[in-house]
Amino acid sequence: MTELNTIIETCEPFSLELLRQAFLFAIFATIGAFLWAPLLTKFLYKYKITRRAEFDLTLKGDRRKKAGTPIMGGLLIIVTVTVITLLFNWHREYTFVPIGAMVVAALLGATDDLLNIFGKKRRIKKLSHIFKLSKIHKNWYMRLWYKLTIPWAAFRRFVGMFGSHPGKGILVHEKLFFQAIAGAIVAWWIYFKLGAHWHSIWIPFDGQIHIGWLIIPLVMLFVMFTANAVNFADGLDGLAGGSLIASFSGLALISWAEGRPAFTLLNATVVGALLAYTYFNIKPARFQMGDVGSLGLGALLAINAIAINKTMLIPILGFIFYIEIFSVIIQVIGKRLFGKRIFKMAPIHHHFEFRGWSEEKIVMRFWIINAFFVIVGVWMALY
Amino acid sequence: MLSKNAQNLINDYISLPFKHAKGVRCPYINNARLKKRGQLRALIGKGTPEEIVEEVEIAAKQYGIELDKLDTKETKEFLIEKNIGIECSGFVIHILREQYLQIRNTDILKEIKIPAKNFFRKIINKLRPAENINVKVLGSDENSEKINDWKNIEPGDMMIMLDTKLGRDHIILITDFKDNTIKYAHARAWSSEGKYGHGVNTGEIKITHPQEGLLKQVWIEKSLAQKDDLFHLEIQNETFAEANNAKTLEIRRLKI
Repeated sequence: MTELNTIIETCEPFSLELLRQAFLFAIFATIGAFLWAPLLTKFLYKYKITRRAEFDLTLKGDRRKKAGTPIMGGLLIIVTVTVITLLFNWHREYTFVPIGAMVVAALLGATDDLLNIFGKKRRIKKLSHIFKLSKIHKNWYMRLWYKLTIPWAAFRRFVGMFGSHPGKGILVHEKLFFQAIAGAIVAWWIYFKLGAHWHSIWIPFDGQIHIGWLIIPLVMLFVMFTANAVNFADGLDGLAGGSLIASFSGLALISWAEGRPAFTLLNATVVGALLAYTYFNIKPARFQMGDVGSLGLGALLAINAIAINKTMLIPILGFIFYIEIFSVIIQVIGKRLFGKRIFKMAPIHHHFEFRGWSEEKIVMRFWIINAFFVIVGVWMALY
Repeated sequence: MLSKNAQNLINDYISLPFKHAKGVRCPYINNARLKKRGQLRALIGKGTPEEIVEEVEIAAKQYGIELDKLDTKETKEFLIEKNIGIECSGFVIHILREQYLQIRNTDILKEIKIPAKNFFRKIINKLRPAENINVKVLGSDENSEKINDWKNIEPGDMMIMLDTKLGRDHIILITDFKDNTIKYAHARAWSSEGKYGHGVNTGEIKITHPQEGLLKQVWIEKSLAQKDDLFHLEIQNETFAEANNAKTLEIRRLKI
């Protein structure tokens, strides 16, 4: 530990010692995750935390055979990374907030996963209903309440269009609300704790641009957007896990190249845990990531990039996730505004499934595409 | 006669362009009953034949149905189970759009004036005109003019029925008029046709009493129900019944 602390205090860019430590963390995380994966699987089966066809609208046709697969497999990564970081890489000024925000996002995802299985169906009042109530409710204070909450109700209806399991689990507007809180914590940390250097934003090939407090909404936006983007990609066996390996490897490499030891080790730990997770997640999956993993890791991906001042690289390092989320946004726009499908199905991996590509083909091609863009991102970061 | 493209489009509704089965007649759906909002056109009775076929293929994939293994009857039943079809005004709009594109090079979806209660609805109407044009819009004086003498009827005119006994409006598209016979096409559901019999159909009105109104002429239209489904042999022409019961029955032509 003393040796490690010395590295963290006095690290140079491209330090060989840091690289050695990073590999050690990755190996340790992989072995650690492998060792307790059977326990997790047993736990998930025991408490029937599995995908169930009767609750899951997406489990139809060919996908029906995915019913019965445990979800919340993402716990393997979240717990492994948290424990290893707490024990060996805990630095209040560096890893405290990334791990904290990841855990907050993961808790949100876990709640959603569990409510999707054990929760009851919930209904959202239609906007027209709210309008009506604001005029005809017998109590004046309720009429006033409905009037005041019309913007929130409109927001709730609007974002509800992006929900995948309407009526069960945490609703989209609630999810966004809690993600905004996680994003706000990160933004506060970046703006007030990391120093004036983080009031500027790095622009590829162009140096730094001072944006001051605007960094706060920007950070919130990226954290929320990336968390949801990874969430959308978690639809095929191995897709999110394999793609995240490349993304976090890229971040680890950039952190190492810039001489940021805490983040190099954190990213290396995530890569190690992801390797073990993906081993069990490739088709046919032993377990699936679930929102607990996808929201947590999505948030961490954004935070770790922001923390090394590479915010603008997030869409490149997480290219496939951004493609997935934009395909959903475009599809919703096409459907709601023009009444037409832009893609056969969304997220885009389902579009290719519809076109007859096998699950393995889609997943591996997406891995390759993401890996390519990670290489591009790392190359850009070196300028 | 309607233009070739418009006629082809009618044929596509009568036999949807599926690869696996021929003769799947597009069923009738009524979105006023389903009350779906902001949905895909094919799911609210306003889709083109291609959009309807695409939606069926996607629904089949989602529900694990092998479409190739379904025959014509089963395919149509699948459409009805999944509420995919066309309603009367949706059908007329798409055919007339094709007709006016061909003969006048004009897109009627951009020309038809749709009333809007507020600015938001105005934008929606601009973005999704086909979904917001209904029988009343087509039959309004702003968008169409009344043809008082049936002798002046032309292919592309519309027969508009407002406030029929069933409490709804209906629209029929006139496809041809010659030899004292008016030919028409429409999307409709007769009660005698049961759950799976209805759909886009054609019919004709033979002018046997030239001095009298349309309701005094001979209306001929076949039922689409399977013979086995019928419990009585004489089927009432429900299109005529609907016209007869309508508070307003007019032939109108778009003002384009």
